[in-house]
Amino acid sequence: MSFQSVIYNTFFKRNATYVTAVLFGAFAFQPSYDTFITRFIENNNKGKLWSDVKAKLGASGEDEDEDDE
Amino acid sequence: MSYSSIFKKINSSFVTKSCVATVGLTSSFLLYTQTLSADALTAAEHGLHPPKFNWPENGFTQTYDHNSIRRGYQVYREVCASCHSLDRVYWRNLVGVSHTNSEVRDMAAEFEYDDEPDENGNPRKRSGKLADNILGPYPNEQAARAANQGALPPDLSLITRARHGNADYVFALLTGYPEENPAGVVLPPGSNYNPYFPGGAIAMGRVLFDDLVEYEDGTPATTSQMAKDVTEFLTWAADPFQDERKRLGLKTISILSALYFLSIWTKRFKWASLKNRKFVYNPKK
Repeated sequence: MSFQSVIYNTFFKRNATYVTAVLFGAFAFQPSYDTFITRFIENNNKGKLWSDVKAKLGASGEDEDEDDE
Repeated sequence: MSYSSIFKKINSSFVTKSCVATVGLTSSFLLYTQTLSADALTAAEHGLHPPKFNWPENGFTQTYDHNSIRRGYQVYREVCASCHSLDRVYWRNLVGVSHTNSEVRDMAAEFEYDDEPDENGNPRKRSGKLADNILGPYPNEQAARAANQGALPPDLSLITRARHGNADYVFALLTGYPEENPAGVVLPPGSNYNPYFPGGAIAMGRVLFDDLVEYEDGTPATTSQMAKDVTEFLTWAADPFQDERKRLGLKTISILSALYFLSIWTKRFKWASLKNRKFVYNPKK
């Protein structure tokens, strides 16, 4: 059985599996795409971000992490 | 068509044309008279156009340089803040951008704010919190003018958005004071010459000189370095959400263009059979 027919038989053949796959696919896609774009931006701007500034501050920048957003 | 109606038609079009001609000639003449004085419509009147500088945040995917924002706040605090306010920026805005939470708390605590009155109704003061805005050097405009020979130092919160040339203008202005005024420049008392300032006469003197501040990260504090840092800080202050906007914009535009091309492909796929149909008419012989 080829890859396409596996996909077809698992997700596309029955309406219930198809709708479920669409719904959960949307939920899974959003955060993963968001992470992908954020990583892209961060890699493009290495050394310019707040996280880099904070790393340079050393020990004095370590306190109260939870509020630093 | 009777003779009188023809005459009316000609007459009305003549009046219209006369009006248009009068307005046109008058406005041309007014524009022309402006060019008769020596510095009208020149760089001396409108200020030199600043060159385009290569800012760290130029480009679709580029964020602010937060090292520069941090140094720029230091320059603002040690130099600009003696005259200029920054009252639309709140202390909390700096947290996670240029300073840590505890650093900003300490900086805010050095300022005094009005508190609620005590039980006898006497006004009280309290130290600043993250929710307070950054206090300017003067309590009101009159005090600012009195301290600056009648000139009002503008609030810097939105200054890079409020001037032609934006950040380029601010940087060019800060670094653009010549060593000595060019020949023929006549300045009103108490003003300085800056070619980038419209009219050339600016109340602010040159304030940035080499090694005026000492950066904590060891960056050499040249005049242009300090001007760049403070301009970067002010650009951030005027547009604090640029980093996030660029991230979301990239995300949105990339996904929408993918969906756009997908929809084009789907349309062509679905219509392919219809577009390629061929009707053949075969009448019976």
